[in-house]
Amino acid sequence: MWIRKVVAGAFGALRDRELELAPGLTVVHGENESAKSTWHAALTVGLCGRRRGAGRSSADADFEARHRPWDLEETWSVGVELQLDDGRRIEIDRDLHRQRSQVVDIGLGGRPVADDLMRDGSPDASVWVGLDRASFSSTAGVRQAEILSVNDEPGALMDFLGRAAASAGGSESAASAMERVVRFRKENVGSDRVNAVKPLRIAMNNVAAAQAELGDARRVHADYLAAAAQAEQYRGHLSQLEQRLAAIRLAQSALEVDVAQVRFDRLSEWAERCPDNEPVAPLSTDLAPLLAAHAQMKALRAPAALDTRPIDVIEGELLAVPVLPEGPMLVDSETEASVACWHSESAQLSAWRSNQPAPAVDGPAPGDVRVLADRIQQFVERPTADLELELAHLATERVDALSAATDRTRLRVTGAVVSVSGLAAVALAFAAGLGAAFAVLGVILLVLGALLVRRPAGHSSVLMRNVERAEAIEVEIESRRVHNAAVEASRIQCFEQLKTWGLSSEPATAVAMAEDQAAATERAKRWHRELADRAEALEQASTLAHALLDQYTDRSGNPAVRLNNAHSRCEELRVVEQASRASVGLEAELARSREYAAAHERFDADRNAAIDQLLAVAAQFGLSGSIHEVVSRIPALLAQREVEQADHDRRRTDWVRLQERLGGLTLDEHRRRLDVLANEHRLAVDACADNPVRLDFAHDVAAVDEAAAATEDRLRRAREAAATAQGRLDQLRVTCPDVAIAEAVLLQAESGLERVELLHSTLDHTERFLERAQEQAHRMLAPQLESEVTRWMAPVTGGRYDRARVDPETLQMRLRESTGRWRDASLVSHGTAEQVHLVLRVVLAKILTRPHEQCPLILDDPTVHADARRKIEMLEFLREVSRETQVIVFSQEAQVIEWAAERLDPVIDRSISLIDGPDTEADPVDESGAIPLPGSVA
Amino acid sequence: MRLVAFSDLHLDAPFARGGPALVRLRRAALREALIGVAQLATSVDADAVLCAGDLFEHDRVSPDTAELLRRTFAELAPTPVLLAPGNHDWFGASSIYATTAWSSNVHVFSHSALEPFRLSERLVIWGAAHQAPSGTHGLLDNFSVARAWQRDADESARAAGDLVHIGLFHGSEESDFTLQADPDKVLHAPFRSEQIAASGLAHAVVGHYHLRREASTHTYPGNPAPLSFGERGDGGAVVIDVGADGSVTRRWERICSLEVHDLEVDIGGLGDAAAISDALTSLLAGHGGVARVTIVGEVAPTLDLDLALKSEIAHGLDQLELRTGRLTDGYDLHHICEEPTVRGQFVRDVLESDLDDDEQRRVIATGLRALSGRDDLEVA
Repeated sequence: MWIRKVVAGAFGALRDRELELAPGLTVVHGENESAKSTWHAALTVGLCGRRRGAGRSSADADFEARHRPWDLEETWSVGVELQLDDGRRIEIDRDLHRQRSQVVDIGLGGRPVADDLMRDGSPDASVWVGLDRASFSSTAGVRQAEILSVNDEPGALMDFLGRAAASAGGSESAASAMERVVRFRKENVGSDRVNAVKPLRIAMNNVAAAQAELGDARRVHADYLAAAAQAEQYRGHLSQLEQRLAAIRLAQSALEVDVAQVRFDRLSEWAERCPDNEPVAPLSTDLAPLLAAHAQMKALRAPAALDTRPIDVIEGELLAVPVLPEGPMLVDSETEASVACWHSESAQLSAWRSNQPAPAVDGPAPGDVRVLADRIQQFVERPTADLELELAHLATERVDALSAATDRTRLRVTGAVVSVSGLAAVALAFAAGLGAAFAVLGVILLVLGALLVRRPAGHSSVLMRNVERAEAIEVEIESRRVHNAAVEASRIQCFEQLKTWGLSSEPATAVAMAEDQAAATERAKRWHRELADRAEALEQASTLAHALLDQYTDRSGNPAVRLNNAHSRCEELRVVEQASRASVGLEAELARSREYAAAHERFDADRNAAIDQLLAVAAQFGLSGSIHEVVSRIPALLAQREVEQADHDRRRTDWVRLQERLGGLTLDEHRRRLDVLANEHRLAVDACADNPVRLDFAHDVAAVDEAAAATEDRLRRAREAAATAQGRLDQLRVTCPDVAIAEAVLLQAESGLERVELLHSTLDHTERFLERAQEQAHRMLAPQLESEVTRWMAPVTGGRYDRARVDPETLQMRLRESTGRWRDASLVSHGTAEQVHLVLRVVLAKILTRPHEQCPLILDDPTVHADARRKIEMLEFLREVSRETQVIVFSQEAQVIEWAAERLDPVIDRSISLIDGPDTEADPVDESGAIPLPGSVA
Repeated sequence: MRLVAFSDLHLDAPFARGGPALVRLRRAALREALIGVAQLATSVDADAVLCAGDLFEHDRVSPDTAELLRRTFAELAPTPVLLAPGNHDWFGASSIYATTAWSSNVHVFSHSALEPFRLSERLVIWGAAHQAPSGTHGLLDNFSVARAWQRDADESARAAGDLVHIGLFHGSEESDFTLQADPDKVLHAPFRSEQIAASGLAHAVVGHYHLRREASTHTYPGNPAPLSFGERGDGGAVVIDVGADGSVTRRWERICSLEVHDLEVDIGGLGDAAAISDALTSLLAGHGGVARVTIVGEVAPTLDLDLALKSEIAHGLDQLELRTGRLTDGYDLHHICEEPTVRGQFVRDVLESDLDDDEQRRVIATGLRALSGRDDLEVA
């Protein structure tokens, strides 16, 4: 197949333009911006079309942005005319805007032929050569950037080879695709190890958990159903027991009615024999009060007689006994001691008064006198004679000092004159030029004068000190004179005071006199104080003695007198006390006599009362007369009453028995009760009409009661069991899991696992088939690549490489240099790599193309970076290739244009300037479309 | 006499291949359907309510379902409710038929042989129970109304010939079996339609088949709501008027509000997920309830079919399930097979392998995606 013509109706910047292409090599050249790339795209899309359908990829969007006419809204079209190897001429018109394409066979009058070309919604003419629009673009359409890429990456060549071998130039090599599968499986399936965390393990865990959950749910659900059945079974059993108990109760009811009837009949008989009311005991029946009164009377006893005198006699003797006076009968020792103390204090006071000292004298205090004496003795006068002698000596020294001061004044005047003279001499020596000697003399005078003026003033200072000392001595002398006058005045004053006090003017004597006077005064004061103390003690002793004596006598006399009176009084009392002791015995005798008289009086009263009581009670029982008559008739009365009581007791016993059988009810009430029981029994019989239980011991009371007890016990246990079963059922009703939900959860988990396992299986198969396909495809491609590349290697490299070798496992290619050395194709120079890549593209296009088909090659500036030599080699290579298949080269290079002008065969090749149009004559092809053989052109 | 009959409610049954949410949804819908039966019976003044089995699922029945049944039927009192247990709700000691304290108007047929229930002076309902989940013999085999009536009825009853006899049981009419188009269905208690008349029954209300059947001799009410996608779910409650001569007129009433849709969408020619989403949204517009959409058609090679997109399009639906059906990938495998490349070899090898068609499709799509550098290697 080759492309005869490409028509750009409206494509990019092209409008109604077309390129007539040659079956051999067509070189389309033009400067930059001359629409070479646009023609390249128009050729490709015109041949292969675009994918049609909803949505678009980024590549589609990029293509549209680049090549849709920007100034036309609904027009975007391109077309190609093809010449197929079978002779057909095909015209393809593509309305890219409406995504419609028309493929017609020109030779058949424009009959559509697109059916077998449709790929992704639009016809793809590359299908005719065994490619599709993707693989065509990757192999037959060679872009400049692809050739350049081999220079940027050493492995790009082999990578391209791998991708081409894998998918005719797809984006992945087989190895990469397998790596991608493995990586995807690792992330999206993972391992089934227990500790794995990827989807497969997670899904397996989910299934296991859901299975366990469902197992639990089914087990608990089965428990629930079983518990419900068991509860129902217990309910049935309970119902049977209740029916049996109902039958037993019915039998009991029947028996109870029978018993009640019998009892009622007996009661009726009893009632006929018994009084209606309780028998009343006869009034006289109770003789207890009479007997009690009799017994009480008989129980009284008279008091025993006493051997005592009459009361009045004893009372007379008691009146004759004297009355004991009040007061103590002995003087106590304390009173005796207090009177003795009073005696002692009185004697001591008298003795003290007899020793009174001389009276006290008033005088100065010895201390005051001693102060005056000390002051007198301490007064000392200060003498002035030494100071007056020194004052005279100082007056003499002053006169001498005044003379020396006059001499010093004179010397200073002389010095000043000499100094002035010297100064004048020096001045003249310099001013008048009197010579050095005169000047020296002047200086000497000057110095000498200064020394005289500066002589010390020693005599003047001595004079000054002398004057100052004389003044000080005069002040001191005056001070001493004043002091002595003051001492004398004080001494006179002290003597005056001593005289006033009447003491001696001699200080020591005066002090001794003062001390004697003070001692006498002190003694007088001490005697008076002692006298007062002793008087007070006597007064206290007198007071105490009188107070103690008050209980014995009146207050006449001193304590000694009163003590004697007290002794006398006590003696008198002791005599009276002796006489009054005889009254005690009389009083005891009197008390006993009075007690006996009272007891006897009470006995008489009680006896009379008992007799009255007995008579009164006896009267109630019909007995009268004297007490003796009454007492004698009591035994007969007792015998009569015993007979009456026996009759009453018998009748009451019968009545009590009847009441006991009636049980607190009346006979009518018993009749009504019997009626109720009979009615209830009839109802029970009706209620048990459907009860299937029949008792064969219904008339045996003991058996019925025993069966009732046993059935009640069984019923109680059955109720407990039923309640337990119901409780368990109720609990299971609450906790019973949802089996359907658990099944759904398991189903989901299994579905998830199934999905992952399916993915696992698919990925495993994919990897296995890819690996096998890679091996087989490489084994098949390797020799073809090796053969084809070897064929072209020497021409395209100018003989630098002459042979290629391809590893069938890895498709790694090695090239043999002219020297015979083999080199890895990835390690050849950049220029050679470009040449090898070009060869590979051509070779792969040939290999991938369907056998016996020719695939056009469209190359965009394939030589732009090659040096001049390689450029020529590559162009020559392409020219050779174009003898087998159509080659279209777009270029802007002058060297290429020149080469084309020189080397293109005007018969089967063409050079087209995009500015000027075809450089060579068009349409070298005959109408049949047959391409001349390469050899024929030459 | 007017009867309201239903069957195959399958309370507490999971929706086949549905998740927990769908189980809950369907459960609620079926419970509403049960209440709908009661309301229908009241509204049409039915003389009795008949259930021909599979009222619930014994292995999954929940305690509150038992209580719901008890309460619903009790509220119908004194209208008789006659229940004939089927193979899913078979009668046994642990069955809630046996363990529930039914109200007096409820009668559960508990014997494996047909027994009479005197519904009125003229009408007798003959019912039987499955007593095991499988293996129940044909309930009409060797059955004769006259013979059974003589055995079971009391002496004061009329002769069998003076009465109208209606059968109520769970079984498989053999000729209807092929009509049911349910591969999971198994014959239980099989019978032939001619056995009905031969036995002396005027008509039979039968459960088991989920598609309703209005035969001259018998009636399958059908299940009120599908148990799985693919079932038509055209059943419901049947109002049956029984004439004095035993003739019946039937009217189906829909009692379940749950819509179940089983749909299919062809995504051929749709190039991306947005287009598929649009197609699904358009397909599901106006639908409610539960829907399953089977995606078929040719998938563009560049498309990553994401079944997780359902949340975006399930507006208005209670539940949506997406699955893939007869999908083909938009690869020109014939063309690829001609390639002398790894890809061509790969496709050739897979197509020649003994993998099943679906697995071949997934392996080829996965491999081709990997070779084209795609990361979406999980093929729906």
